[in-house]
Amino acid sequence: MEFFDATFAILQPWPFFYLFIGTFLGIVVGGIPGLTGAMLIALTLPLTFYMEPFNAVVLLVAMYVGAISGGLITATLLRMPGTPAAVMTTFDGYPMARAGRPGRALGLGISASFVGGLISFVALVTLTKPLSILATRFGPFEYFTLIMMAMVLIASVSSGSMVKGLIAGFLGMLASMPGVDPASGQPRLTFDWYMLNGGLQLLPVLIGTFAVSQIIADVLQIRIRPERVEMSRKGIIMSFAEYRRNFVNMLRSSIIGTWIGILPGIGASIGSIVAYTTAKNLSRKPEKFGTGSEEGIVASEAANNATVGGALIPLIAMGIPGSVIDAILIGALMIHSIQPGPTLFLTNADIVWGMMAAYLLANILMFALMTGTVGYISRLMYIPRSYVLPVVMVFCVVGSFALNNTMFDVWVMLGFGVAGFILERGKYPLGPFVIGFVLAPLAEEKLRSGLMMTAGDPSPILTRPLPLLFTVIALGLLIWPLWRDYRRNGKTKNIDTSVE
Amino acid sequence: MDRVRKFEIWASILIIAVCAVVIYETLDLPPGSFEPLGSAPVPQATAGIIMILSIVVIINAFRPRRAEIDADTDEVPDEPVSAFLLCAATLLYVLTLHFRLLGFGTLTAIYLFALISALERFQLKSTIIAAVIAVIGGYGIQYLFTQVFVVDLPAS
Repeated sequence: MEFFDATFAILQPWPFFYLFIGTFLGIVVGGIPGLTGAMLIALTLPLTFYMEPFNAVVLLVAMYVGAISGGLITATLLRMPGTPAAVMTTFDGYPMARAGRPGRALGLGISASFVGGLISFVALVTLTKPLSILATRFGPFEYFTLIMMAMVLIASVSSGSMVKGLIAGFLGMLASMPGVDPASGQPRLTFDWYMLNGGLQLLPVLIGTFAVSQIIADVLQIRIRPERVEMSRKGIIMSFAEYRRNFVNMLRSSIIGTWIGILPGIGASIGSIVAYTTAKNLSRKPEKFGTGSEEGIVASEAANNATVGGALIPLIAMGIPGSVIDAILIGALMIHSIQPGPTLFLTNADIVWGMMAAYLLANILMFALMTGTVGYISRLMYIPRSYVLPVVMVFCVVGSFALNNTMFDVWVMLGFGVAGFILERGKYPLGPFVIGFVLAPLAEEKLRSGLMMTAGDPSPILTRPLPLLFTVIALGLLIWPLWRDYRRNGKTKNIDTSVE
Repeated sequence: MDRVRKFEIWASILIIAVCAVVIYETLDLPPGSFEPLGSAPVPQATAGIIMILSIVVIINAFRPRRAEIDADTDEVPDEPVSAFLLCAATLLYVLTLHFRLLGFGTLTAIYLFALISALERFQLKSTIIAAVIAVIGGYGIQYLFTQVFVVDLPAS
């Protein structure tokens, strides 16, 4: 019943306006290479200060859905994924478009995205409440070990080296520690500078890390002009028979995407890679993958959209972000004095159901908008980046300033922009950094309150079943890649010796 | 030794230095009075873990790697001049805003015009487009934030 109330509330003029704008902007930004959904949502946060929390959530969720979906347009027409999540779509979308069937490639992607969104919506509605009820039984040690497991998981699946993923995550945690310690009232890491007493705010850190660092990286490659494929709408609407033919692939990829979305911090890119690989392994025509395979496009797009709904599940149920954009959404909720976590169903049920309804409606709107206007949207992607990036930089400055009306936040934003750029250049993933920044205060609070309850005894981490399980999983995730590398190196050495 | 490895080593040294500062800064924090842990151990432990991991990165940088990892094929050359222009113009823009030397709308219009024109290498057509974007961007953003979202912007 509450879900239908929320759906009805979104269909009122203002919330629907935000839903429409959010979805449309998300598609456009997701489709422009160099601009990402995380960047859009971080830059939109300051605008939501003055909105009703319900409208703010509708806007941000719609942007999230739009941004993940929009990436397929450039992936198909330019062989440049608009968002990292669409990278697998380039393998088959672009060859199909080059073969004279761009409408068909886009139609498959749009329809698969829509179905992926619907299937993960079912999971979102059915799994979130039971999971949040389970999470209300978590004590401080359960929460602390869950967060640590999430951090290790994020680092272990990040691109590149796991050690660098861990460093990025712990650096994010460290960056959240300056300020007055809430437990003792003691200033910590403030260097006797009063501006740091309140700590580093999430918004400038997010804008710096995701927007400014990306702008610097884009400017370094500003002369890249994509190869253009002529747009045609032929084949953009799938027939019922085509849906039926692709149904198993869509369903399987959506379930994979949803499941990977639920796992903390992994996100859409991994979801689409796993679904694509699975589809290829199970296909009757695996040799067609990479040359314009329908199955490849469907698997990638169904999975990356499904991760969005999946990732909202731990966010709502436990306050643990399923992806970088979810970490930003947690920041948005906290800006509106809403604490995500297991009690969210009790304290802000309208927001929870609003998120779910917005997710469903944004998927429907995305399908309609992309099917109807993809030809027009695709033209926006050829705007030179030298016109777009300076304007985005101005929004970064204004967005950071608007938080507290202080230039200090603008300097923090610039500092984290440069730091983010350096980290990315050194192949340190930024996802774990931001998720570490968001989760560290919660992890520390839970650890310290747990130790207060046990008079400083940390043994419940190893004696209670759930903390033990989370710790074992975290250790397994740490040890497994090292063991795998060790074995791989051993095999390589054996081969080298036998060749000699 | 290639550029990537040198970068890794210098970045790791920088990270270790930052962590050393963190540990030093938390040494004189008093122990907790109402709770067993206090304010210092968590940042100290975090910084310590980062230092150990950074040492691992440095050690790995000296170890031989498989050729396919090191191969940097298909890389489009960077344009450091454009990045320098962006950073310098933005630094100047934020400094001018900080000291409130010019109004937000005017300053933003100048920033956008100068930066877009420079990035497009002052071609005539692009300069005209830059002027239009600058005026709309500068005064439009000022109007949007001050009149619609009712946010104070830094002004002279």
